[in-house]
Amino acid sequence: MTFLHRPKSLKELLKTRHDLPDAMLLAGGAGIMKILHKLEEPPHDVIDLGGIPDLTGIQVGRFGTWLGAMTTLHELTDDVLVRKHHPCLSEACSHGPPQVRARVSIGGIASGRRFEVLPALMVLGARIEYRGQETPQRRDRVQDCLRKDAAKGEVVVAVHLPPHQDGDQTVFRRIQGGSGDVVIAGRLRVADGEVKEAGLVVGTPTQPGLHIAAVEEALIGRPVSARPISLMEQSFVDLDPEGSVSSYARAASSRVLRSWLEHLS
Amino acid sequence: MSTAGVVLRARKMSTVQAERGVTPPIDARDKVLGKAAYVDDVAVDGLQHAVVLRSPYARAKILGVSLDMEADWEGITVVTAADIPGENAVCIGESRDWPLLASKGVRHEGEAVVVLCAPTLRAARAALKRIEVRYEPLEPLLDPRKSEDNSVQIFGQDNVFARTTIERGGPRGSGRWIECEWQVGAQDPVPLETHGVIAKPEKDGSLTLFGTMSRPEWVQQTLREALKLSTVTVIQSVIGGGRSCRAEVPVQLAAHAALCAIRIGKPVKLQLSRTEQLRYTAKRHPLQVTLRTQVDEVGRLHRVEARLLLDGGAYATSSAQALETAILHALGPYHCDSVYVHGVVVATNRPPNAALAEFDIAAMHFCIERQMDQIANSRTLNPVAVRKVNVLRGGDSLHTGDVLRWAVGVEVVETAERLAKAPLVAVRRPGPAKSLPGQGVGLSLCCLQPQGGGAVSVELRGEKIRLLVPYVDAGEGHPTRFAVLVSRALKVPISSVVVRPMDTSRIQPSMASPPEIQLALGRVVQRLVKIVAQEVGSRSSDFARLLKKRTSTKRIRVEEPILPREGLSVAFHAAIVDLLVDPDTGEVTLRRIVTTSAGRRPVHARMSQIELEGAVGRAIGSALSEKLEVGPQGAWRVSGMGGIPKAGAMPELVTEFILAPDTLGPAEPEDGVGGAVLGAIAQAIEQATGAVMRAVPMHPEQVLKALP
Amino acid sequence: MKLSFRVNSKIEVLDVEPLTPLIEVLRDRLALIGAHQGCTGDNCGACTVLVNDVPVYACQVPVCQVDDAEVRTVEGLTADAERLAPLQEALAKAGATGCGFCTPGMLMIGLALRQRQPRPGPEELRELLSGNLCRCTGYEAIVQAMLEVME
Ligand SMILES: Cc1cc2nc3c(=O)[nH]c(=O)nc-3n(C[C@H](O)[C@H](O)[C@H](O)COP(=O)(O)OP(=O)(O)OC[C@H]3O[C@@H](n4cnc5c(N)ncnc54)[C@H](O)[C@@H]3O)c2cc1C
Ligand code: FES
Ligand code: FES
Repeated sequence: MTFLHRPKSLKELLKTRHDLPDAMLLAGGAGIMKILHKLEEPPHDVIDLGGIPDLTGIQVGRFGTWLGAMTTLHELTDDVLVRKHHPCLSEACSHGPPQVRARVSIGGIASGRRFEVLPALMVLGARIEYRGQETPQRRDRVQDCLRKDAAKGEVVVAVHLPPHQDGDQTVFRRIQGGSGDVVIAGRLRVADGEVKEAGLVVGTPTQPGLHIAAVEEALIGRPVSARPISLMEQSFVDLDPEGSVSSYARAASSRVLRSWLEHLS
Repeated sequence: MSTAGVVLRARKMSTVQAERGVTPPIDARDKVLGKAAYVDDVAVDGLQHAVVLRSPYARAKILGVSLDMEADWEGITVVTAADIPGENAVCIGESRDWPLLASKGVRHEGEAVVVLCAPTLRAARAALKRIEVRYEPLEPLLDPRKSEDNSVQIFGQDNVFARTTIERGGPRGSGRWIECEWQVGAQDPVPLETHGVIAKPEKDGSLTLFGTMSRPEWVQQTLREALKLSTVTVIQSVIGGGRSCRAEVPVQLAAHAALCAIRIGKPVKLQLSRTEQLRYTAKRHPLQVTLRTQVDEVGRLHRVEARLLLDGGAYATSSAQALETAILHALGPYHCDSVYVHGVVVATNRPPNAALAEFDIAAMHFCIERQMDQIANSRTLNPVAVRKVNVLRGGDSLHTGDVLRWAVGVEVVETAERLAKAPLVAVRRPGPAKSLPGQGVGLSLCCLQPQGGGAVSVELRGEKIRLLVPYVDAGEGHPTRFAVLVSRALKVPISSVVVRPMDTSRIQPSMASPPEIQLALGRVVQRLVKIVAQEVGSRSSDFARLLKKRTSTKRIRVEEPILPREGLSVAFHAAIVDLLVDPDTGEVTLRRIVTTSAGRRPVHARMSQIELEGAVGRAIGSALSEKLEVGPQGAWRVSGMGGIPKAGAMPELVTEFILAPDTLGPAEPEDGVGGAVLGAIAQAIEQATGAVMRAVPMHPEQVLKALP
Repeated sequence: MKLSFRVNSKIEVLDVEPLTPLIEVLRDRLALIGAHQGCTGDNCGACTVLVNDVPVYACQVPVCQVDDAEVRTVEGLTADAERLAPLQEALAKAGATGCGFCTPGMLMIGLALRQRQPRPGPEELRELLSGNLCRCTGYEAIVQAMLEVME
């Protein structure tokens, strides 16, 4: 028997989450069935995040962009301001069938590690906001979140993006590779004809054969800031050196980047 | 000497409008209403659910099977090899080496060891975890190139399921030799519906099987020999997934379900999960081909030497047939008098592969088409010209000795070339600015060996005409074509023609192909007209008028044997592919594919066109998006259903038929077009980038690696 | 849990486990067999239904998410089997039903896209069908039939 809990406010949610630390969270619901398939038994408690106004909405302002955890991919691509200020994210969220995009939430992505979108969030310098009844509110960089699991009792309430700056240019590519898809997200800040800041993240699913839903942290390169291109290529050394996926990802993404830079200059 | 006339142009944008009023498929109504009954849609009282315990090892001895006695086994029935009363073998034609359930040892990952059934699927799956099979793992043989070394003995003396050599004409002195190696990995038929069977014991002691089985006679034979059941009726469900290989694996499933059903006296359903379907069911044989060709300065073939190696997997099943198809198409649509072809299909510790005509033909064509391109390269000749020089012409003989009385290879290429000159209707996903455009041409030939056998019947019941034909449809739409043929011949509305689904209690199964069935239907209908005319005492051959005169309500049934016609039945295809390659990532974006096909006049051109479009789609899937990898124990690790391309990956399609004289019997126009498409895609990539694609699939990884 | 929702305009009240996949409830409890299960989350799309007019994979939706919602399945496209809905008519006429396994899902996504404003053009439509696979037809006939109805 599974019990369904439907908190109506953030406060109520944090309390329920605190009281039932083992409960399963239900956000967009797109990842639930895959999680259930792996469990021996269905969970005793489920907390539905669907009815909490504090987790919804998109706000774009001078201090950046605030995306409520329950914002769906579909809403993100449809939003005119997001498309204008963060085209890279908009593009990243536009992939995949409408049946999935209408449901997957950005909070689910931040915790579910959906690799198509995370590189875009990382390259844009996004921070994830966690809240818990007992733990203080914190905002972590995506790459730091990937290295540790959320503390028990915490939930993702929002994703923040720093404001768009003049001279920022982004690129997003998704390549359908034979051994899995490869996602390339890049950002450059150009001022006075000079590259001031550069970032590149390459995302690939896990090694062939493993399940696509789990993104190996090792396969996600760290962004490189304000360095020449040759150094950027160095950052690929951090990727898994053995796998054919990553050697392809490395080759393809450095070529994409080179072309992009040529195109910009 | 060849004659050809363009009968029908079916261009993408105009077709639906142009052919308004064409007969829709006879089953379309049920399908758009969601009423068509696939196996899983049928409600049966007291239905039990079966699941299979499969080997995790590629090769192992089975030391024992034990049940967890702490668990609750109430209502659960467990069946092992020891429970099989007769011979523990699945009958696939003559082959008998594939056991229903492994007993002493397993030869591939995913091999069935235990079947159990329970009142619910959930209970059945839970019980599966309470069974322990103890194995002693052994060193497996996973590489077909090592099979003949015989370090691990799987089959017979030499691990060879079948071997064929054809030699015609001697070696010739002159010309330059070109030798290349080509590979086509396995292909998964990926039906949208997984295989499933319901076995239902009847009160009279017989057994009825209902499900996705395309070879009912193999099911009957297997149950006769293994379960000692004399009366077995096989009824075809609606089957989901065209060209989806429902031959081999469903026979084993039927036997598994039957074993449980007989044991408990209740109906039992066994349907594969998607994971089982992807990992363990039969794929097209992985193929490696070494081609040596000797050519003159215009690229004319003086001698062709081909060596084929097919991986059959752990059991023979229909491997010999796959080899036969590959050998038959070893020279593709080209002619050469001096030929040596040697093919062998070997055993490995991998799930058994199956003969899949559409893909078997396509795979061999990829190799020969690539060879033609390398011939052109080596002499700096135009690849289209090299094809035209060598393509079969009327009066030429194939390497098998059969003489083609007509051949329109040159015409299909020329028509395709003409059509490909039209401006693109739409540029799909234009891609990055730097994309390199390429165009390639491919040819293919589809030879259908007539099988004959069995019979067709028509029954006149009042106004209704009922057809009983030995054919199992999986969405290819042949029943509609049969109905159209009969309604046209008799000039009666199609709504009065009913095609019965396969049911062995009424229809004797047969290997006959749809074109052969069509010929038999043509004859049987003429006989029906004569019989009715006699009955009403008229000389008229106007069936509608005869029916009006008819006062008797007596049912008339006429039967006509399906005769194999002499010689081969042949269709030619050409494809021209227009694509973009991203030089940074190796991604291929298809812009347009033009196909022209020459064969007999299609009974229902619209359905043939859709079938062709489907075949082109499947070729695109296997060329560019299919992802099949071999797991550590030899079974397939498939992520998703990439063998089916997505709608957005499809290019603009232009299809055209050319009517060829019907001197050699009818060919199915849609079979074999995939080979032309595979070859053309590879050539277009090469034209765009200089990358020589030596294997299928051609993922971005391979394209980037092959860049010069 | 006690669940109440409308399926094809009919109110259904059921006692169910909240995480049961919607497709199981539709097929096993309500005998609505039109939505098919072709995979387990591999995006085949054969199970596509509409929840409050939004297309979803019924195999991936826990049934508690449709509490109080309106679900539409292929069975609800027409009340009268003699008179097909325009999309059904178009697909049948175009010969766009091969094996038919993908058809109910195609019809439901087609219905959702038809309701969308602005209506998708040919290329966009193809992209939006990326979650509905068809093995038989190469999509061309399906896309043409849908475009015809959308005009
Ligand atoms: C058809 C399909 C294809 C998919 N393809 C991919 C893919 O290619 N790659 C990939 O990585 N994933 C894929 N997914 C999985 C999906 O994108 C992720 O699982 C994502 O997390 C789902 O988001 P959701 O909002 O639907 O979360 P839900 O499914 O509702 O929740 C799943 C889990 O995410 C966590 N979670 C969700 N929201 C929060 C929150 N606000 N705070 C804390 N934890 C939270 C919880 O642990 C919860 O149990 C696919 C899913 C489907 C259905
Ligand atoms: S059955 Fe739901 S996506 Fe395939
Ligand atoms: S009609 Fe068969 S899968 Fe689409």
